[in-house]
Amino acid sequence: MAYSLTHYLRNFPLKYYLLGGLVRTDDPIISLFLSSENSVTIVSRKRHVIGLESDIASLPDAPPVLGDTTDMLAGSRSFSTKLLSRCRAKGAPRFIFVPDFGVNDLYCNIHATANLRESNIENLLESLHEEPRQVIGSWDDPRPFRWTILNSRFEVMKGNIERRTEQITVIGLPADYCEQVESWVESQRGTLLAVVPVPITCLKWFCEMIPQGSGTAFVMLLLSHSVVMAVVQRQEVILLRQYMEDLEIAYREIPSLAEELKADDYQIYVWSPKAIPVELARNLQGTELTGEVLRQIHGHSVQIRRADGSRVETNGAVPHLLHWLEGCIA
Amino acid sequence: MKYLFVSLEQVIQQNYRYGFLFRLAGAILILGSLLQAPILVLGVAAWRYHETQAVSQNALQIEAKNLQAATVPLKEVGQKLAQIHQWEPIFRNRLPISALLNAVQVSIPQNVVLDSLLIESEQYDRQPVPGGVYRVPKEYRVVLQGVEKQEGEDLLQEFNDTLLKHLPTGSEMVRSEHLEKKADRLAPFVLQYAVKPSGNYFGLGLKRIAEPDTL
Repeated sequence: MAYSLTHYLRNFPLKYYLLGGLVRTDDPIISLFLSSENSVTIVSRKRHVIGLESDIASLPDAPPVLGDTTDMLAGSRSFSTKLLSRCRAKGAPRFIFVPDFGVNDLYCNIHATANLRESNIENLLESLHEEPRQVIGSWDDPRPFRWTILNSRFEVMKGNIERRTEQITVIGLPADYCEQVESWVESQRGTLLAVVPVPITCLKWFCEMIPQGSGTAFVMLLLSHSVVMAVVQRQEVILLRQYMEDLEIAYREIPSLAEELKADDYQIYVWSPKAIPVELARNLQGTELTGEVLRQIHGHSVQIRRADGSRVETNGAVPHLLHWLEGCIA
Repeated sequence: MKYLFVSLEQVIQQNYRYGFLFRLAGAILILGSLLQAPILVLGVAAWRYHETQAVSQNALQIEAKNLQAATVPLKEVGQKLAQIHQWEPIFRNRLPISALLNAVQVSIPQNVVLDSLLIESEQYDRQPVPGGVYRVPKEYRVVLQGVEKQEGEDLLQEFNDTLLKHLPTGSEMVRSEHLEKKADRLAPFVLQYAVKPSGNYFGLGLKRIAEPDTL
């Protein structure tokens, strides 16, 4: 489908234009971190955070979380209307979804370009849409997926795969969930800016915000249903693994992996949406990406300018991540 | 990362909302539509005016039909009136001779004696009426011959002035002449008038009938 005058006239956003959208450029952005255990949203306007809400998954008309079948009936006002009125913000909301998937719901793997038959990203995506087994030999999920291809710096790729590109990252999400998100966004009379899975967001953030120099970084992501371990060298993700087990099992693999990669000097970073239990933290060596560390990385805390004029600062992992992603996208 | 895992349809819809060119096109479309509003209002006003006119025209047509229906019984009266109107020039151009004679009588000075009086009608018009054609005179010739008893006084002029006052409007004296004197010192004269029948003969001494007969 391409742009056409007929399509434009048929889908003319008259109501949006007449409600001020024609001249308004500062519609609020609602960034949603969605996990079955921890759901957080931040509301921003003109790059300033004006609201932070936790445990939103339990609210009526809440955004969909994969695997959570609780069907909350909406009240007279929609979820985003209530949220925006609490923050005293107006306009059509723009949503960024950062959902946390289980291992079976998120396909995220690095492929060597040498093993690919396709030399073009569009052909590769077409093959994945037609039959994922053409690209991923061990694929056995019957559900339709939406696919995207990223390079080692986690940038979206298009066109021909260059010869110097040694590896690409294939990301797949269940199409049902994406459609569910789109229909929910439509019900909120908003627009969808992106659906970026948590591991992709975290690793992109890590590559851009934390300089490694010539060293190697092992990044451990403690998610609700899985643990993701990535190896980052020269700001590029060269290895990515998902574990269904707990952190310690993944952690034990680091020395052997470092030896395989001949990385004598390596750093371990741990990112978690919530505080790591003390017992677990005691057994881990590495830098926990939270609190003061995040403030030093960003150079500032996340400031929330509340409607009453007061300012609240936070250095939580999720607010920092969402605020950064929002700046990246919007 | 923008539009990651967002369907193409959604991306296009968002560009319609936020894309500069689409906003510009939207603004032009909306402004264009607003500019059409006065034309629309004028069109509606013209349509309503046309509707009102049509309603009033229908009402007038109905009223005209009613009036036509009401005039049917008056048709015979109208025909009679038309016939009477046909007689109007005949009556108007008929000079009341008795009144004319009376006017002459009251106008004669004391020392003037009238020998003869000639009244002739001339210059006829043909006036068709039911049952025939009338010849209606357009002018009457009145010739008076007489004598003056006293010489030196302008009795003829006095007689002429008095008579002209009584004659209908438009009448004029055609001839006023003293003839050769006779031996008895009486001075003969001839006066000739062209009398135009105007329908107004009150000057001749006619009086309005107090209560005219009804038809």
